[in-house]
Amino acid sequence: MIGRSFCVAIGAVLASGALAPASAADMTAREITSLVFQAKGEGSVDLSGKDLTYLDLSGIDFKAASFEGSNLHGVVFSDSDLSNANLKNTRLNLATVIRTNFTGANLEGASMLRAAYTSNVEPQPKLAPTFAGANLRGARIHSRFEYADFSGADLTGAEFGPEDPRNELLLTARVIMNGADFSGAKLKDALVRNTVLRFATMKDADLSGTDFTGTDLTKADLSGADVTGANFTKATLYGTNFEGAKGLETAKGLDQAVDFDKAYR
Amino acid sequence: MNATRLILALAIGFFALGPAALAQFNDPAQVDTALVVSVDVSNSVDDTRYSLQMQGIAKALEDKEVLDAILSGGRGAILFTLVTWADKPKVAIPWTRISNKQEAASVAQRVRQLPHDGGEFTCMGKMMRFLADKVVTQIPEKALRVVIDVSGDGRDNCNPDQPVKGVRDELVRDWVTINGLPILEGKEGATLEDYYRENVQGGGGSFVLPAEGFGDFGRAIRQKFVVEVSGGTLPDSTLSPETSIATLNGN
Repeated sequence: MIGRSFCVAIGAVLASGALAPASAADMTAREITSLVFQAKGEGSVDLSGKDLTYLDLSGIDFKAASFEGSNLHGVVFSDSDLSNANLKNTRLNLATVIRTNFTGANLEGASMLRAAYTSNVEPQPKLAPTFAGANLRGARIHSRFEYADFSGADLTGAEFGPEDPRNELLLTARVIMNGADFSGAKLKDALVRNTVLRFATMKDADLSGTDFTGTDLTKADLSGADVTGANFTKATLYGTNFEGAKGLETAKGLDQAVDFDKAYR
Repeated sequence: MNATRLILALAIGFFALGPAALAQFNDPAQVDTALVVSVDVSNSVDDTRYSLQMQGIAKALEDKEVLDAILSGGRGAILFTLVTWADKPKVAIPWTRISNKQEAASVAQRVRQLPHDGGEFTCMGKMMRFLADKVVTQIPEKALRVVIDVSGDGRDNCNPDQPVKGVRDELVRDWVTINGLPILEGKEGATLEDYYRENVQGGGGSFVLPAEGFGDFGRAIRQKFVVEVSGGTLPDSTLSPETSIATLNGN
């Protein structure tokens, strides 16, 4: 009897939509758009500490807005301008970021698990988000950001994907960033393990102490980069360009790397 | 009139005018109408039909009667925006002020030059949500009235998160008027007018004015523009002989 009542109660909760994630947000997309529009020319909008889960915030000009500490799980930011926005310690898990502009944004400590701009097998570069010059220090990125622009970004201590293989099974397979641009970016001491970075550009990047264990760097361009103390254990280095790279002699695990003999030095 | 009656009369006047109208006392409107024209570009709208719609809108903007209606308003100006919608809505022409013949002609020219950027489905609910969240919230000048003009040849087939009429009601609560222009052509032609009345039309002075197929769109949109920019008055002269006055069922 109790079991039946329990099932009925659960059924009622499900039918009422009480478990729907969209109902959790502190504000509506409409309220936020109005707020942003009214604030134009009068300073930036402060949305820090808010729960904005699953809102469609696409196409909105959020330049220099503050979202610090906000929960942005599942938010749609497609075509939105978040340049110079403060997204420190935000949760951007499952966010949709088609053509989103994060140029110069502060994403320090942010979490981007399965944030995406495409579900296609062959992603289009023109749809990728840009993180040029952004602060991603200590950010956790487990997303498919192929062709994304990270040029000049600070990814010091950032973590690409989970260390724990059980989490890897729960989330997606490896982090894929083929063709991404990390020119002049700082990845000092970043954990870039088991990541797919084929044809990525890391020209003149600071890769000192970066952990590339198990990462596929096939035909990636690391020319002029500082790889002092970087770890390439089991990394794939077929056609990888190390021309002019600094500190290659101090890099670790090159003897265990795949196809290091086919890399350009 | 004694003091009690005077207070009562003022109170009745206050509530009869409503917040939108009362706001004008403190913050006068700069344009008469903010007009959103929202056009269906789903799969059923081929290049010919798309062209008929865009030509119809452009010609309506250049029409003398429409222009007279714009210029004869208290502020002699309107705001115009064009949204196209199928799988996703898109602002094709952002909010633009029209206060003279040249500005109307310029907008008409932009309408004619819009590329056909269509889609598969008729996501009407998503479009209405977009208008409520992203378009009506960003009107750049104070308007006496906000009118949304929805046209299409089918009902929502997009399994929306929220029923179309739910978003419609939300807009109406914010003093927005939504008029419908169902294009009665194809398999849904027989029932579409009723669907628009039930789910799309809403707000003070709202109406549904159908087009008898895409070829009739130009005539219908011109008539709608005249009514919409002239402040919701419904002169009989704006109606075609085949359009019943019952269709223009203002609330």
